[in-house]
Amino acid sequence: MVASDALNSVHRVDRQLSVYRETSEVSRLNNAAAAAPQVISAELAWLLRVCWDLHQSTAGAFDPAVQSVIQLWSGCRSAGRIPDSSEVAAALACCGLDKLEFEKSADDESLLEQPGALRVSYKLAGVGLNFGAIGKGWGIDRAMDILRDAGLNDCLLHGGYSSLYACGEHAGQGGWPVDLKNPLFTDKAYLTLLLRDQALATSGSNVQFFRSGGKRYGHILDPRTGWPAEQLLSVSVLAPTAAEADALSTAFYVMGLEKSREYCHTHPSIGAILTPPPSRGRTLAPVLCNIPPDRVFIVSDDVHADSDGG
Amino acid sequence: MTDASRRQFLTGEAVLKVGRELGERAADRISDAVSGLGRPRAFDTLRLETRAMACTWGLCSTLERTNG
Repeated sequence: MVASDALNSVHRVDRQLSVYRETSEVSRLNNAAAAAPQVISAELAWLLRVCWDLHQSTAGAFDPAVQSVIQLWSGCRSAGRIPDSSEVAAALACCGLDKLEFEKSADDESLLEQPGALRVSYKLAGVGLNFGAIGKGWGIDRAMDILRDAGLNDCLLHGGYSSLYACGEHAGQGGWPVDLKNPLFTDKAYLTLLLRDQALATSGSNVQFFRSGGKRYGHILDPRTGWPAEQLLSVSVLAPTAAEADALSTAFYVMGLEKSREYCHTHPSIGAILTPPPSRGRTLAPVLCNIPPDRVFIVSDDVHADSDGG
Repeated sequence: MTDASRRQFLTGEAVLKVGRELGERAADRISDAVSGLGRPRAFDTLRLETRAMACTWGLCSTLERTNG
């Protein structure tokens, strides 16, 4: 059955990308690529190319080679403390896609067709890939490939509700209605979007965070500084692919309001809902970029939206 | 009207207050109905789910609309 084949393909992506599985392709790479070049699959090479483009376009705000910083914060969180600046600097020295070296250019598309043709090494011990900011979106896109090939044109596929792709329409409404949860009161919606042939991903630290020394630290880390990003309350991104939406929702969270708005101005295929923390009370003022007014519905009295483009 | 005073009752103030409240409630209902017009909503879907990457994944497709 096509639908179950599509969902099962997600397990394959998980087995390939997970850093929590010792046998995954990414774990194998992280364990060995600093010592010697490692052959990578065509699919991983393709994903790395997509990552590189997003890394460049966001000036480093999206970076999958951030495992050293994630491991540092994860360990400190378990120990109930925050890392000191020297620990962050040491982890940051092993962070960044520029620490990967390709034996042949990853831009050569013919290499993707030749198994074993592409080999990657890490320039330093301690460098590591972590696709947590794009993996779900990538899995959704690969599953959608299967569904599209089988001619299933009206469906919605989500991964953990925070990333999804809406294909075609639902019940003749011109798209799929998707509620966005109010980041302050997550049992309530604050916006409804009507999505058609579009991906949506949401990032925020309202659920995953920890406290230390009376301060709250979110789980989204800025790969450029090694510290948690904290400018925005919530970011939702609409994009042609779920991988882009997933990666950009994290990148925009890190970049903050103005840089994200600028990005949307220069990338008209990308839409965003950027919600800063309320300046007073519980009234939210999300900024909507490149979202047509007939595709968004405000469903809460506690929202005063501002709109750019669309 | 049980908490209205005799003076409020005799002057009609209590009746006016009740009438005003009823009118406001009716106006709110009309306003809510109008503002909800055009908002898309979810109809019945067929769903398949699995667990991967430490979360639930779901595929929804539309069941044929039979009413509404």
